[in-house]
This record gives sequence, structure tokens and C-alpha cells, in this order.
Amino acid sequence: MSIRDLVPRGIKRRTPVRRLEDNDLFSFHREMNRLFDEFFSDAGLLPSGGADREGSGRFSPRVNVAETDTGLKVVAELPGMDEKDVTVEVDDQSITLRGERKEEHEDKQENWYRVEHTYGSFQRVIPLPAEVNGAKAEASFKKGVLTVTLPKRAEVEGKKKRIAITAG
Amino acid sequence: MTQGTDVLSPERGTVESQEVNRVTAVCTPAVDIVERRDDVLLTVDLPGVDDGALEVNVENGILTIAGQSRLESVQGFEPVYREHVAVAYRRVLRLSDRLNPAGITAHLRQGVLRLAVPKREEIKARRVPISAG
Repeated sequence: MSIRDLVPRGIKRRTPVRRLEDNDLFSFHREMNRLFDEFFSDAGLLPSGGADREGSGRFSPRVNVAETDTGLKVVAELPGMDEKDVTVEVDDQSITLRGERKEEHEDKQENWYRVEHTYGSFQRVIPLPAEVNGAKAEASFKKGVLTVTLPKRAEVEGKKKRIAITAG
Repeated sequence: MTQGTDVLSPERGTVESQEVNRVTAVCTPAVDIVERRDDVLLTVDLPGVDDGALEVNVENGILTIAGQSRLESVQGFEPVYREHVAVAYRRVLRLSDRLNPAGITAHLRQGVLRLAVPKREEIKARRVPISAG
């Protein structure tokens, strides 16, 4: 017996997919899921690492940017790489990380069971929230984490001022 | 632990947050598993994890990898973009009976953990000598 025989005649032309899309409750459910996902990823509770990177099939480092009044810090996760595998370029308003995560093949007799890592070359251009002095940038690599410290340009430092509010 | 995980079908683990006042996410690190002639090599990404913050345990054939990453370098800084946070990594895998958990060796370098789990002596591939005559 084919699956068609189980479907009552009148319903044949309406595919299940269409019915799900037409259903308001279903799209509402989906929208709620999306909102929840967004909310938690914005809060930093769901690191977007695993699934997202696996989905794209290409390695792309996760990057944080943080600032103080005088400088910026760019922190990138680059597991399995060292300073020889990565190039960092800074201009006034952006930083570029470029490099390659190489697959390790030691032995011809290897039998792969599971490959969750993504490999290959990557490039990320990250816009910076302030002008920086690229000449004074410092970078260090520890535990597969690259940290680049960038001083802000002197004339920019004073631009953002906190204004005291007086009561009364 | 009674999780029915298999070395070929790992499962997401859970972790209890140790520090309440800190945003700590749980992350399942990516694992590559490759069988070599005498052992099985597991490669696990654990960026930001110190040797001291990493634990690898085997109990009843269940291998547990647990580590805590630290991003101390950005303390005092105001986040602008954030794609990763300090996380508790956890991965649970069941080891096959054909492996010898007593002989596991672990190396953590550049944020990547490499675990070599030797096969049991009796199942290692052997070349059978052929005598002529």
C-alpha cells in the first residue's frame, strides 16, 4: 500500500508543507523560537561556535572587541594555530585577521570516524569603534587565543565625555 | 554516569555553573576522531583553557573532558562586539571495549587537546609471519 492510499481524496492537492506554512499557529511557533534564539545569543549565553561553523563548513574565528577610554582589545579564538599561521593587519578603522587552519594528516593508515572541526583559510575584517594607532599595536598568542591590544589615537581619546548631571 | 554515549555518536553533556555571579555558558567542543594503527586519536578544540582548568576522566568506559576557559585579558574593558564568552567546555564519549583507557595520553597545546587512546594489545593489527618451506 502506498502512502497515497492513506490520504483521503479531497486533500490530495494540498501538500503537508503548504498546510504548515498556511497555519498561523505554526508560523507563530517558529517566530517565537527565532526570538528565543536571538535573545539568548545576544546575551552571550549560546556561543555560536559549534553549529554555525559546522554549518558553513569553513573555519571562521570567533572574535570579541572590547574598549576602554584609551584603547581597544581584539580577542580571537584560533585553536591549533600559532603566530606563523596568522597575519594581523591594522588600519585606522579596522583590523584584518587572515590565516589558515591546516588539517593534520600524519599517517596514511588513518581511518576517520568523525570530523567536527572545520579547516581552511579564513579572513575576517572587523570594523573598530574608534580610530587606533596601528603602529603601537601589540599582539600575543596564548592557549589558541590571539589578543591584539590597540591604543586609540590621542585626539580621539577625549571625544567621548561623560557629562555630569546636577540635581535641582 | 549512565549516559549511553558512544565514541561514534557523542552526546551533549551538562555542566553545573560553579560561579553564580559570572556569565558562564556551556559549550560542546568540536571533536575529531581518527583511528590509527595502534590507537584512536581524539582532537578537541579548547581555546582559552589552561592545563590547570582541564580535567580528563575515564570511568566505566566513559571518557569525560571538562575544561573552563578564561578571558582574563579583557577585564576592565567594555565589550563592543562579543562572539565568544568564557565557557565551560564539556564532552562525554563512550570508549569502545577494544580500547585500553589505562594507557591514554593527553597533550594540550595552542588550545587544542589531543588524546591518544591505545587499542588493547590483543586486537592490534599484527603481521603474521609466513614461513617458507
